[in-house]
Amino acid sequence: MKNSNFETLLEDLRISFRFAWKNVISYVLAMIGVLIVAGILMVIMAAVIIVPVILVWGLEPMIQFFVSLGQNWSVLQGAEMFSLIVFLAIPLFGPFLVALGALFGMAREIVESDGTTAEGVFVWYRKKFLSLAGGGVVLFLVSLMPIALMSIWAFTVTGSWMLGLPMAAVAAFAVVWLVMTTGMLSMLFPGIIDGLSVLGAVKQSVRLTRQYFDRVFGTWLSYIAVFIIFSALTVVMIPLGVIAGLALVFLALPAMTIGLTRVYLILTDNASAAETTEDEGPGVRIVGGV
Amino acid sequence: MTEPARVEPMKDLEVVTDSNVIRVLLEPVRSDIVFKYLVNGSMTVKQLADALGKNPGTILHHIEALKKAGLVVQERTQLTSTGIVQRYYRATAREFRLGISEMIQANGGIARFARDRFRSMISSLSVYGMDIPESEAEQATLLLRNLIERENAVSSKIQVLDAESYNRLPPSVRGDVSRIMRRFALEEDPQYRDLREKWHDFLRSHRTGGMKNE
Repeated sequence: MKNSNFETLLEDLRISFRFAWKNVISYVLAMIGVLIVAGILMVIMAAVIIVPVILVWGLEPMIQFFVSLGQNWSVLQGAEMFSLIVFLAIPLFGPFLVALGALFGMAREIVESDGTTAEGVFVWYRKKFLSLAGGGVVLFLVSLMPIALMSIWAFTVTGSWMLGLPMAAVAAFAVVWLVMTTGMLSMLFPGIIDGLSVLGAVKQSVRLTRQYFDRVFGTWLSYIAVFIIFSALTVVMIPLGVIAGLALVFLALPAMTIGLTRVYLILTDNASAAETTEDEGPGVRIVGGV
Repeated sequence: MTEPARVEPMKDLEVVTDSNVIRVLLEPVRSDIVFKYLVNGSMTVKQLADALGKNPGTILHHIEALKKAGLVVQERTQLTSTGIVQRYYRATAREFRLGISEMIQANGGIARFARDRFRSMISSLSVYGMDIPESEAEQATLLLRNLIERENAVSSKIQVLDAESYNRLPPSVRGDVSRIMRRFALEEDPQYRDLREKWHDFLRSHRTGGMKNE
């Protein structure tokens, strides 16, 4: 049940898409709702950062700061650049990463009890906000930040964007890094939804990946393949590609959350339950309460 | 690397002394989940949701809170033919008792709940012919509280010397031997016997009828 082969992967895909289709209306409503909330939160976050700056320093110095930042971007040192990206990107994209994490909450309800509701996503969003945001930050720092930093470093060293072979090498490294790290952390959000801390969920995800590499990576790669197919259809089949695009967002993405959650639940089954002997008879007690 | 936690067999008795855990148990839906269902055996989120007439998502959140409080554990996982991965949950003990002192010392609602429960128990003894006047309710509460606290303290200190064999016992046998030992341990404890005697003396002095077995 825990190991993988081609049939298992196909079965995982089939079941996850069936559940995603069955709950498509809940997912569409939930995703629209949660994106609105995430957008509002992003505006609030931006306001919380920008308004005090304007009040303290005024609008003019802030405009000058961003203009000079643009002018001096190429001479910024690695540490400065890292801090700046983290400072700007995490608060702004945090709400969206939490929204993605909250979809795993819906997936958990579906996988464990065969049903979910659109409003359920808001409960997960609210209850797990900090943990999911933490998970999003980890994902961002581990998977995306090194690629962004490497691209910026390459741009800074060469003075221009790379072309030809160096570019191909960097792109290939970026793809491999992205697939490997996101695959290794693919059990992160299901773990957080299961009540683990961010660190606990990271450890759990890495442990499951090491222990059941074929199942975790097989599942992850199969969803990447699905995303590539849907994306290609979206681009190639204009104007019908709109349908493929909608299916990518409202069917393939939920199916991925369902599939990964399902694999998580299967892999975290407590196989080492303590050995007990069942009652031979009807299990009636003879001795009364004290 | 952490391995999946080994699921320990159900304890026969657990005295809950952490006020945060007591607070978790006093929430009505969580209390129903534990006391009505999961102390009697394992159930899935869907089964609990159907039994309680609640949304499975709501039950899942309650289960998570109960797991975090150490009152419920995931026992096993079952894959259904439709692809659902059902997790079975059960209580960590067959019987939970709430620590009286901790409840009395807790903030707000819990302390009030404990005081009201004792008052209600004392006045309800009248149905057995124990007529305790309001002026002596405080004394009765104190006697009963001390007795229950001692009973909990003694019962929770009983050591199982061969845990492996104990864990392998069928649940009903484990329950029976546990009760025999709890009763024996209580009888062996002089402080418990003294408190019990005081409580029984108090009851005898307020008996107005019934109880002809002495």
